[in-house]
Amino acid sequence: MTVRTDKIQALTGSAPLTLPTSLPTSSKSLQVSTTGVISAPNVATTLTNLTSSVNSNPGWVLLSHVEQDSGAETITVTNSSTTYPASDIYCYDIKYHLASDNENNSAANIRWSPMVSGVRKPNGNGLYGYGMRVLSSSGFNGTTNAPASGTSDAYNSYMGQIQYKRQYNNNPNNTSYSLNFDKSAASYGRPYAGDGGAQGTLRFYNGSGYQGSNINPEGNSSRISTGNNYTNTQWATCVSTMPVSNNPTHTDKVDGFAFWDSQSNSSRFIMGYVQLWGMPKTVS
Amino acid sequence: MASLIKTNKISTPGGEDFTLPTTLPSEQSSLTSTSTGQLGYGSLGFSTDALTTNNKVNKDGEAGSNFNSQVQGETLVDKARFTNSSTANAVTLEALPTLRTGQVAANLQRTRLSFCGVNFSDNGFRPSIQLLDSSNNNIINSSSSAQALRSSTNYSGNSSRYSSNPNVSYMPMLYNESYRPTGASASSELFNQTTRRDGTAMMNGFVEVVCISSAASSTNANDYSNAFGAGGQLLIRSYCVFRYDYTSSATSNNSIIGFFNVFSHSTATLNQMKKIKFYSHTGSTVMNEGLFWTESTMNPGKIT
Repeated sequence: MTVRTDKIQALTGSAPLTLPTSLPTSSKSLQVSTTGVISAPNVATTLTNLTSSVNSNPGWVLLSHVEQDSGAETITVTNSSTTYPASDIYCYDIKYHLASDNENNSAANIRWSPMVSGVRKPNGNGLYGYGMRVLSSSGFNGTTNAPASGTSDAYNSYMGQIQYKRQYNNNPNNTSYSLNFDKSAASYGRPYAGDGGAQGTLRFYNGSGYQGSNINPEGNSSRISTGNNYTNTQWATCVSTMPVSNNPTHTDKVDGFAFWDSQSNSSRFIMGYVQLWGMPKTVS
Repeated sequence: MASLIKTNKISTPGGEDFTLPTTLPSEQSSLTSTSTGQLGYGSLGFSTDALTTNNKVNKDGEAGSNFNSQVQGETLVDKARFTNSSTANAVTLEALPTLRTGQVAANLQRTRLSFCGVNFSDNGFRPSIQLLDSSNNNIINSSSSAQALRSSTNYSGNSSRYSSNPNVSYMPMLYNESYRPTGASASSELFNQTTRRDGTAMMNGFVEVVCISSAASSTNANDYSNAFGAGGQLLIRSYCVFRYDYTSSATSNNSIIGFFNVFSHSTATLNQMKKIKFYSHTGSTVMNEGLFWTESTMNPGKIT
């Protein structure tokens, strides 16, 4: 039986139902209203994570990406996901390229700390770690790299350190991170971010008390020489932190990370990018 | 007064018949429907287990509109998690994703097993892997030959290397038995533990396997894998870090040892690898915690 009409009065007595005659051009977030109108909101097509072939479990989730163009005292990334909040993240993966904007050729450290609700909370003193590195002077060897510190002021309270070489802050170079990707600005023979800085990956196990960067297959590469030759390149990895002499001070799940120069209180600022990924604990 | 009209077709003003939908598509997107007839997509709208190239390419990576397939990149295949209330002696994860449009075969090119926060019931754990075919049989047989390079380093700053024929039926990841990951039985999950606890190995790392089956290297003269010659090959690299001190209060030794393992293998017959198993090759150690997942790329020569 065929009924010829363009509207049907809803049997409940509410608004008339309009029959759709065409589909929106996008199927993203397709909706049908109570009056029968099909629409597709202007929602960007994005994908934050892959889903496993088996049982559709979530993979790495892109949680945040921060690019700091001018020198800043601190660079932070935060997991503000409502789908996968901090309590759902089993481990983080933090990718970074960081450079200084000050004091050319001085050897220094970029310090980092986990954060909870915007507050740095490194489980510092009492943590013991171990790493490997390659130095041009001595080759491959072990190191008790980057012992953590959980005390003192904000500049000296950290979970790990990344050794690096600062580079000069001359205009226009290193007043802007993006200019370092400009050939005319970051030209040969002039100080630029590639002359120093550090790039690499931290992987952070997000246990409540037992936490730290205990997986780091890629480590980081940085130049720690104070000269003008690449004589002291370092590759460090697997720095682990464990609460061995005391119970952990902080037991909340971590929802962010902060990076800063060890002398950021003296205007030694950093710039660059930090990208935050999380592996959800979820399995079906 | 409302009356009930039974129909599955309605005509539009132009006279076209309009058929009312009675079923939802079987698409993977989160299409929803309510009892009042309202349709909607969820906020996600879609999901996928793989990324693909922007352009359609052939097996040599050459782009062109006459090619009919977008080669997929890394695929997230499988994932598993253990807790103290859900333990296991071993974990076996699928390495092979489902066939996609345009794929005529699904040979693995590379698989990576990642593991994180792995703990055990005792300190007898000898972490090992096995590569399994679709029948859960070890793809390495008695005719295999192999070479391995292992190295390790600990707090003292030394590293050591070792090379010999590894066991062909399993692949132990340890070089130095004096530095094994240690563990203990647990009544709660370390992931949520807020106070010190003994026996926390917290083993983390990955194993990457490139598998060229003997069938893949002999069936197609144009297949790039033929360049490796008759027989199959495995190329493996792995990395793991763990704590080998049993007591949580030990501070005399730094607690983590780093480790690399490189392994190669060739044999007359080598089945296609479908799964990867992570376990202890001796003892009855139970894994009481850990997250595992596999990511794979496919042999581009098997995608048309």
